[in-house]
Amino acid sequence: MAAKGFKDVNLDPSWAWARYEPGEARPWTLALAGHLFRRAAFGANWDQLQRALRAGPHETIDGLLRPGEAAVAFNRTYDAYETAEAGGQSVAGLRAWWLRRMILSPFPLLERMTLFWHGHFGIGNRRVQNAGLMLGHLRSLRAEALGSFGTMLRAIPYDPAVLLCLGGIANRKSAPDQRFARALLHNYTLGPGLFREEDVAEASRAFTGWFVLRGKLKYIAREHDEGPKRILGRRGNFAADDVVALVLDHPGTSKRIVRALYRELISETQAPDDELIAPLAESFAVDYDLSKLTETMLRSNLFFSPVAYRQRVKSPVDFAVGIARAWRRRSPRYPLPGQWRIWGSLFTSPPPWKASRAGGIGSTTPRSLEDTTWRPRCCGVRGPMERSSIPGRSPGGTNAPPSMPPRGS
Amino acid sequence: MSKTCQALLALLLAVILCPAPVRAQSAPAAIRLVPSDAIVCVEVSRPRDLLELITGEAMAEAVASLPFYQELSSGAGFTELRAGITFMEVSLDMPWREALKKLTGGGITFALCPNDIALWIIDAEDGRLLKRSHEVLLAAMRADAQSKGRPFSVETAEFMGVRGWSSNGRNAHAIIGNRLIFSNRVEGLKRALELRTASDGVSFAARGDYRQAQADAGAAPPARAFLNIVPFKAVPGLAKLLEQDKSNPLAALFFSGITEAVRKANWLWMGLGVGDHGLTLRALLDGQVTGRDTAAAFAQPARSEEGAMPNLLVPRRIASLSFYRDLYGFYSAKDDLFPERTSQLIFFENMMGIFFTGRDLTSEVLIETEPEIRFVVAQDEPEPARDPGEKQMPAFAVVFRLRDAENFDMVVEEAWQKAIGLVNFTQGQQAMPGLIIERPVYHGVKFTVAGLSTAGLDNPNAHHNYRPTLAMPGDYLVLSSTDGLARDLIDALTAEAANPRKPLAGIHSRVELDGEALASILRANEAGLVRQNMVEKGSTREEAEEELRLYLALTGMIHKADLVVGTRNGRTEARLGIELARKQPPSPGNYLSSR
Repeated sequence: MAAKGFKDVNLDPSWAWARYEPGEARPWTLALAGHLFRRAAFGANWDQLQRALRAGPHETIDGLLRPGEAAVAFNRTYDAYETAEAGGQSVAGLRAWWLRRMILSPFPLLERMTLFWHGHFGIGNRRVQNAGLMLGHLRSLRAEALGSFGTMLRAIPYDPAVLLCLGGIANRKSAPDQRFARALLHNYTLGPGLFREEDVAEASRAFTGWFVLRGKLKYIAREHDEGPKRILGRRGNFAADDVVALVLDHPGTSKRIVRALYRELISETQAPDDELIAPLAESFAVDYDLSKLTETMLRSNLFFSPVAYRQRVKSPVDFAVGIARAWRRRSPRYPLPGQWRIWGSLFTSPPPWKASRAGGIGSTTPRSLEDTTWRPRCCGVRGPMERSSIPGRSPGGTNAPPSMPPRGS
Repeated sequence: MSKTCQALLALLLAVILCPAPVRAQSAPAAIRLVPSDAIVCVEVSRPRDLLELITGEAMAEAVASLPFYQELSSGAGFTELRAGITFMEVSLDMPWREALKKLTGGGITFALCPNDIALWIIDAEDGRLLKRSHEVLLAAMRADAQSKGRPFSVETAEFMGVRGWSSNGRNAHAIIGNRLIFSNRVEGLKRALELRTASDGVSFAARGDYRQAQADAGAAPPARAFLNIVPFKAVPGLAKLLEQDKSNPLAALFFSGITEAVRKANWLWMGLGVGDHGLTLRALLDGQVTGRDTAAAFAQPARSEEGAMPNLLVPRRIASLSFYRDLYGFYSAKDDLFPERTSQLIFFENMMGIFFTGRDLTSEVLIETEPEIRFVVAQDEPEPARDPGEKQMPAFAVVFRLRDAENFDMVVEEAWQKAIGLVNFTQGQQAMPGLIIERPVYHGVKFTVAGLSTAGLDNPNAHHNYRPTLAMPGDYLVLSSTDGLARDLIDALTAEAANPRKPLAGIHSRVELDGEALASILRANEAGLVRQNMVEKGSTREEAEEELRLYLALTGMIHKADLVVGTRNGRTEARLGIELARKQPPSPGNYLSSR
């Protein structure tokens, strides 16, 4: 199978998802190290790139996936900061702490994936108006961002922030609210074409009885519809957990999530066909292990090929955090909330299926970038990054962008 | 020039920068050597007073405790400066403090002129010491140049019969008797020397506005400054600030009299005095504030004996503010003052109409207030079961005096309860707890407290210092954020009624600050302030803690600060008194444990 725009590329799935092994034809270069850090860690500074170049791709990926005890201690400290900040209605403080966490975290891949899931579920504070609930939502995403998608999804119907954001404050038997059920089937899992309107109506009955009262989730048994329902071709007296189980059993869910992660980690310029993602989707459906899926993608031949290289537009958050991380030893201060708030994509973005992913290209306008006063200051700092880390600028070929192997190799 | 020589020169400059001169018997007054086009002129006629405060042991210890100083003193430059000071002490055979006083005791005059020319005129008490210091410095610089095989960069020449020295054609100085004249440019020195023999009418001393300012200010304080503020008003940031009150009614009300005076002023005179326990800074502007067409008019008492009331004193007070403001007159003129009716103003009037049952805000509500407004900010009573990391907001209150309290208090009570009802309705819409009204009695005064319902709250203590309170002791109306502060104000107002105090004649604004209480509330919110600094400035935790230590050290140095603003003969005058703390501020390293 040849991808559009890459006529010479062999996208045989067995080659695409096989582990990338650097060789004479496809060497491990500074350009590829930068590519890896951009996708998995908001970018890197010069020292990190040099270390990665010496360590090789797989040892570097090991470090990104399993950073060790320092990350545990760091996250514990930042959890305490965020808890102290989550007292009121405003999420400005939480946003600032999350941005700071993205910049300074020794486990940037976790924050990167948390940001991805934040965009996937698209929960904003505009309707929640409760920083504590938004923090709870963020924590549940972070807890499973590289864990189990099944666990993450099973928690979603019981997350007050999700229900408030989707308008599901009171789901009564007499008038089942379809908004959460529709979001679950249409946006979070299967996607359009794999369910019917009847499935939405029946699933919404399964979620009846759940209320958000004074910021807390409460189940009122008399408001739950105990009757039989027919959802995704199966019949039973389903409740909330059952609907999530049905959705997870559906092959469309794993395909949808694999596609979403493909877009996040590999390429957003062209959608993969079913044949390419089939092996990953089948494997993912077994345990919904996000760490394994992410690792497979990051270590793959495809990831280090032109199909992935420079095939993704940075979101404003990605862009800004990347600069801050790259220069953090040279620019000692990061004026976070004042300038960064203008993007407003953390906690406040519209659902991504309506606009863009969180902090996504939908809000990447020239104005949004020009409005930052810190950007020219950061960019004004001169350093080794300018001299030789930009692929293709340095003679000698060590920074050259990746090339594809000959057809059939 | 070597770093040692630079350090020695820095010492000489420091001598110049710190204090000011004694007039040489036959020399013209230093101000007569200042060009008439100077923009800023600072005269320190009694430097010893300031030097004794600045170089005194108490101040030195306080400054030495500042983190900024500690960081500075650990640098290589500071070490070189200390070496230079030691060298001078040995060379002159006297301690540096004594040398400094003798070298500058006659007075210091500084002027800033166009083309970035700075001019220093320093009169020494001891002319021989000045000459000796000069020779020692020149010899040291010459020796340093020789040891490094470089040419000696100090040149000397005569101008108008006076020998002068310059370094690399830039800094220039001359010594005439007990006087050192120093400029950053050769032209600056030449202009001063030309004025030495010129007629009296061409120097800064002959300027009409300077003479007028001296006359208006009266007795000369040890240090004074005269600024031509016309160029400064053109600075975009300041220009915008000065125009803000034309569109912002609240800014106009609070800063009335100040912004108008600055807008109309051509000069600013400032005088610095030194007392036994602190400093007093006085400022005078020539901008006349007259007529009823500006917001400033409603801060001007109609009679000379009228003015703002003395501030109220309550336990744990952080700050108190007192204003003379004619709210009725101000709001009556709002259409002229602010022709554009903003949506916020319309909303405000609509809400007031609801609260005051359709009464006209101007002629039926504000007319009931006297032009006497006082604010108090105080630390809340200690709460035993507090989480140390929790924010501790200070309590604050505003006090009005009513013209006819007996007949108007029910109207106010009704408006207050309507406002509480509206808050409760809004809270209910957001599924948030509401306010429960209580009407306790304190010292014979029944007041209204609205406390947040704690039913079902995870942390009922979180809102302990938010209990909006209305109290009306005597003729006064108190709106407070906590009932504790309201009780303290009932006590203070009762005491004031028993011993009436006179208004501060001619004063329209007064602000008092208690440094120790401010430091205390900063310490109480230490964790939150550090976090805030980290996210707002991007500091590391260590940097944020260091900055807080600096603020604590600075506030710990101040016992009280008192700012009064008023008018005298139509001119706006401000006085700032700073009383320094008599005891040492908490050691920066120990403030965390001093709670």
